[in-house]
Amino acid sequence: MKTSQPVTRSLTLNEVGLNCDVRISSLDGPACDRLRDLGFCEQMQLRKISNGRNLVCTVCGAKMAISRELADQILVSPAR
Amino acid sequence: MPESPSTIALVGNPNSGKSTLFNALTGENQRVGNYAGVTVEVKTGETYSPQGKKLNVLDLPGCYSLRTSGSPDEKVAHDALTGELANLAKPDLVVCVVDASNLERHLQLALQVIELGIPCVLALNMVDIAEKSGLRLDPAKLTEELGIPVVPMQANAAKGIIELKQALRHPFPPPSEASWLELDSEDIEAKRRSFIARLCELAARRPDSHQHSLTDRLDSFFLHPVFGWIAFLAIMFSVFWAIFSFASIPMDMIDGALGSFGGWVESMLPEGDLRSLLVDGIIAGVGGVLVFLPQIILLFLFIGLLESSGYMSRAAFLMDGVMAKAGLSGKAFLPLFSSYACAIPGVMATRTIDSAKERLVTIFVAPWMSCSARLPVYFLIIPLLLHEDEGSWKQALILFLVYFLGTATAFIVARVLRGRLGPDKTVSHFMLELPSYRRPQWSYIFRHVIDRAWAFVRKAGTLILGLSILLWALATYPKTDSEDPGEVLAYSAMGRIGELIEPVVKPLGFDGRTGTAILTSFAAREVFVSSTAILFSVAETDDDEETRSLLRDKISNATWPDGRPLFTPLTMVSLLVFFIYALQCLPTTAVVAREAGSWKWALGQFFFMSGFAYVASLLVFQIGSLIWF
Amino acid sequence: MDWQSYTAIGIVGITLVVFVYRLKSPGRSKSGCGKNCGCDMAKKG
Repeated sequence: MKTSQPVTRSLTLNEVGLNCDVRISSLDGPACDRLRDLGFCEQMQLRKISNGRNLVCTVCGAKMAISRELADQILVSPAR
Repeated sequence: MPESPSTIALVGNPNSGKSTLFNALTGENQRVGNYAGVTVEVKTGETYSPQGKKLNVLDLPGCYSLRTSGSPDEKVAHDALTGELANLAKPDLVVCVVDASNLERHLQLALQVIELGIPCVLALNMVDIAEKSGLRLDPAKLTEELGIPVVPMQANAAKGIIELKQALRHPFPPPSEASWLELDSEDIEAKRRSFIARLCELAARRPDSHQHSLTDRLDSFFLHPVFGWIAFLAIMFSVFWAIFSFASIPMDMIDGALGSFGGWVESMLPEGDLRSLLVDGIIAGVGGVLVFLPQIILLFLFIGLLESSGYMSRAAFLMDGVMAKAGLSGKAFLPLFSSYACAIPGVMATRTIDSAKERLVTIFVAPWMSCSARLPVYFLIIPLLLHEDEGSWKQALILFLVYFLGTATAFIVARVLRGRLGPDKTVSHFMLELPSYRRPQWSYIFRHVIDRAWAFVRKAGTLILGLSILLWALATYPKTDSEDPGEVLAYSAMGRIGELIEPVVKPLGFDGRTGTAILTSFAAREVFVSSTAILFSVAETDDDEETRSLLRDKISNATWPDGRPLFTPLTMVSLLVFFIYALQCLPTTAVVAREAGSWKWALGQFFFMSGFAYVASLLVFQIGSLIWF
Repeated sequence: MDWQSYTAIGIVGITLVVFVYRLKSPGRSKSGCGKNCGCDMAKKG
């Protein structure tokens, strides 16, 4: 389910660098609902901690590991 | 007029402390795990309101939402709350348990529950962790905005329980009006999201800077692609080594005590059948299994420590890559890891796996994670293999290899099976929460260890006792007048069974007695130890009270009729291989039939694994014989 | 056959009867679990 919001610059979570604070601008893909349930919602701030087969990131103070396929469905923009 | 008790349901995300709260309220004990999927079934218990009214408490499966199209956990939770679960009354009140340091995420579920129109109370758990991380909580504001009572608490320290019970007094609070539904957004999910964002801004302000906690520092090591694996293997190996070395002293004590007891019984009774039954049947059979109690205790102690500390989710994360090569996901890690203790809860834990095909494959290979019932057999054979006393690292290494072999084969077969079943209709992805490392909860660990230890002793005192008595009878009757112990055994029922079996097991390196012992171990694996104790000691003469030695010494001296040693290293390896692969647990087969939904699948598993064990053992012995002799 | 033999046979006989009874008993645990391993699934019964 797409939420179209105007974004000037958005990368997928896979593409951002490590240890940068970013904000989720939208979710785009078949696992959106699942991601939202886990806390990956629009406007949530997160920080990627490690790359690899599965990414590790902190979102709202909680540490989550998700696969690269899922990370591809998360579009982010720099936080402030 | 007595009214029927009200029903209260606990809902919350996995890791919200819901199970801890359930225990605190009802006094029931359950497992507490720091990674998703530990509480799978609906647990029930009772508590009392401040007015003394009985309340039924339901602990619903931890889930992230009430989506009916989601995982089985979510469906069960949803159906339980709407009263659609058979035999379960619709709850009169719901306690939403949320992790105060993760409100943005946990409130999603809470809002969905509130929208169902049932009276709710919010248990704001783990406030200590929230405060430590610098979060500024405002429970009064939360109450105001959500429209339901909010109770700050710390369930694992039993703080806030009384206040929570106060909120559970009759009459229950009215359902909330769910003010976010009035918001101006296109869909309900967006309404919830913006409400939660605003609420957290107001009532759960997070510090702006990202804090590098101890958990983060530890994770930079434990989640490292290289060091993480080294740590994982080192931890697993250390656990095995510790089990071997720390257990040797208590084992010797138990064995000594049993020996003295046997000696005492012998001195009290003249020679005769009853004395033989008591000493060579019951004490030998049951004692042979009981002596492994220290190892069982240590195994579960370490499993409990690893789970309680939060490390297991890191292990699941590391294992995901390996599991993917087996066609499984990281979600299969917990069920398979549980199977190292016992395959039955492992098989049941597969309910958290979304993919039906992956679930079937996981169920199929779970018994190859060497369960704790095999430990008595391993601990009997491995020291014998090395001709050493306990405690050496070499024994730990062999044990590690034994586990590794079972696990590696399981993964290979899983891969093949997964390929044959074909892809799923819906793709599921890896997602795992990594909770903060926590100090182990010792009270839970000890309760769990004591439960398992008691279950082990109870099994020894019931099933194994009974089987030992019957085995003794088979090894003693029919009787012959001969004095020669070999002839006595050959004449008995057990001896004749052994004669029949021997041609079948000889290619594996076993004689009729060993074959009979293996046959009996299909009733319970530990019985192998009891059977060998009976089969190999009944053959001895009765006049050496001094040499009430370990069973190992008895079987290491056993020979074939022509004098060749029976338990050569190769035979022992063959025996180990057999036990790694054979499925010798009827309760597991029954649970598999239920969870997989078909007896065909369960029986197929049984015959496949039995056949595999036979062939593997055969190959090991025959090829080994060619190479070394 | 002395008293020891009779006693021993008696014990064996009782054990056999108990086993047969348990196998045929209709009150088998619905969860399919043998309830012998002490796992928490067994507690719910």
